[in-house]
Amino acid sequence: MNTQVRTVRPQGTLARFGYRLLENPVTRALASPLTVDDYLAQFNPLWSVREVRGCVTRVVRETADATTLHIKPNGHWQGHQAGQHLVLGVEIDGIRHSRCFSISSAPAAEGISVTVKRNGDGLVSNYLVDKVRAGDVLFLSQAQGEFLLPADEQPLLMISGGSGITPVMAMLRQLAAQGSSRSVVFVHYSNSYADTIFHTEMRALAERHDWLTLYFVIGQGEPTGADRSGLFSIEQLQSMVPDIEQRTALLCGPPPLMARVNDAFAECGWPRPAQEQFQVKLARVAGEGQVQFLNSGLEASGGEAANLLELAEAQGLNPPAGCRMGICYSCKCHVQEGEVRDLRNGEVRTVRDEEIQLCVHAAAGAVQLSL
Amino acid sequence: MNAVVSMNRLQQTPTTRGWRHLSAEQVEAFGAEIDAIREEVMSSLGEHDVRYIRRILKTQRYSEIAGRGLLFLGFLPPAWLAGTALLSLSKILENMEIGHNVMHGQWDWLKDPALNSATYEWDNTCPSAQWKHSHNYMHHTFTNVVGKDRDVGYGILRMSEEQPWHPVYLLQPAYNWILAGLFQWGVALHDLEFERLGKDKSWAEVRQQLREIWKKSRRQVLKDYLLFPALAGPGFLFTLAGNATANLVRNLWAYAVIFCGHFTDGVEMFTEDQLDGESRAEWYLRQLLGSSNLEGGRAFHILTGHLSHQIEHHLFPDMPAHRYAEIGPRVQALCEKYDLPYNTGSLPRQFGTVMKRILRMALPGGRKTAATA
Repeated sequence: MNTQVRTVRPQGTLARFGYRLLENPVTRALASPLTVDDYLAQFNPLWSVREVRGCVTRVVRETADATTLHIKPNGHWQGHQAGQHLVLGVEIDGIRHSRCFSISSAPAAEGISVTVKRNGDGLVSNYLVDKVRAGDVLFLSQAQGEFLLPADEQPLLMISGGSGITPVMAMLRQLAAQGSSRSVVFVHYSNSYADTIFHTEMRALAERHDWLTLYFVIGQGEPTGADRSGLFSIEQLQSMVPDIEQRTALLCGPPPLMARVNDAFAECGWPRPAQEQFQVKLARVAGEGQVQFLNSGLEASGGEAANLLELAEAQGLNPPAGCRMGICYSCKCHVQEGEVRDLRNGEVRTVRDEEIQLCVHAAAGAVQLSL
Repeated sequence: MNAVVSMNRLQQTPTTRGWRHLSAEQVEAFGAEIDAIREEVMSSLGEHDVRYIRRILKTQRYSEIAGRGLLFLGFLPPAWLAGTALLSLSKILENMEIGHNVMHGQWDWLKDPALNSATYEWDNTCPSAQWKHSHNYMHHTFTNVVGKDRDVGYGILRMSEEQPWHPVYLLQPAYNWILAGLFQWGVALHDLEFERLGKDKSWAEVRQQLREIWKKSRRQVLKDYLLFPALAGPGFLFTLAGNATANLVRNLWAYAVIFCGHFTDGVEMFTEDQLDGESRAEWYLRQLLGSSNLEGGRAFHILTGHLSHQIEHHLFPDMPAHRYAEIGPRVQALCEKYDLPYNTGSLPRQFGTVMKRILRMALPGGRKTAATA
């Protein structure tokens, strides 16, 4: 485990008071048409009168492919509940990239943590795992999401896979911190012990607390103790959790695991587990080059028109447009996710949560447009 | 009128001959070479460019803060002068190198919400949304097409022999200077397109636009002419005068730079029929022939928002402007290769020819200056 510590300037009540002093109708009018933030940002990237920003205080390597970032948010952070996620923005070579991450820490006064696992060659996850250092500034959203600990006192079954452990870990940490005695069976699926994020901490929690029963199911290597090997099967799960029907199930993991668990629960006639899924699979959109217009609920095949602007218009949509040759930027439109071809140079690229010019892009694969 | 236009066409001199000397293949080859330059620069965008725009932002913000701060001591003449100069600098940087270029989408790739073309609002009485329509769309798409590009004379000046003459233009050598001094207000009213009113533009549309202009300019006036002066207390008038001067300096500077972009001697005007079936290569040629550059040092280029490289800007309006200087020589070399004019000169020289055009076009008839070039 590789831990770095660096001190950061505290952001206390004084700072919050300062923000209020700087954010009022008079200061807004003085800064107009820019914002107070446009000026503050020149002095300290953490300063903002309304945006949540956070300073990385500590970077902890969890596994070869996963890192926990301890973050101290500025005074605008409103706190979170275990299980929630946030949108985290980071500047890589000056370009802002935003992604969703679960918060892995329990609610506490002293900052938050997110745990990031390398996602293949993904630029952002690799940067966060390897390059972020204490002192770096991150752009944060408020905590969001409905994947929370059930408010009743029912015993729980938590199922997670891979980096899907992070929101569930926040829940376990909260239960432990509260001195809960609520019965929890926790089943985690991963490639190997070495690949398992929070492996040591989970073992320690299970040893300390009688209410927690822990099973690791690993793909490679020899399982120890009560652990198992292999992939998810409902028979194996039932053998570990005989009272499964008495438990409220919570689920978070990679899409294939979630699909198998959901199918198995449906087949058994059990209620669908409460769940969180980040990786939206474009496969949900039927066919290659299929374009989904999210706001209007329409769908069309990308091949029906020369570009996305004309395709939208052919569906009766009327997005703002101007030059139709890529110069005026009137037709900029948000893409949830998709594979698009830049008609100016033929380059195909994957876009996620960004804006493109509809008139000079066509669908190269499935595309989800906010139109 | 049609007869006059065709007469003028026949009399065109070598400076305004278009690209008729190029074969269709040559036109497309020229377009491909321009495309290649664009591709090369756009794929090389990175940290170097980010550092540049961050430095410009910092310079602009700091000079504004320092300028407005010094104006609080405006009763001391050196402080007033320095404060006004710094505020003028900041307003010029904000409008020209930041606002104009950000709204072109030159920095959208940073995905910084503060530099997003869709949401950026500039320090000008013209609402950004209306600017983007009249400038990014109308002017940059239909550049120098008389009757389509409303920047040809802004609806009040006669800048081309293809605009019909009217006696009111006799006064344009005088009222042109009023436009220069109040340039941001001219820009603010520009997208109303009064001449379309009652034809294909309704009063309701114009009323809506006027509401937006009123909302934007009210805030601009409140800030510069009431709030900051009021903060200065007994120095109210010093701050007011400083702010008014800074706005005037920015207006005159923007006017001079912008007028040198398309109204210099040798710049070509076009007719609407040229738009029919125009290819991208032909569009490039029209941008090239319809624009003119200014020569100067690095600081000069920055202060013009790199509109001193008007030709490169019109070829690549969404390319980060500070890269125009490095591709200028390559564009110029292409012009030599294809025997096309590359219109460039010093600010005094180019501005002189603009003034000459304003005087000549005040009188009826064609353009004599073209024949002398």
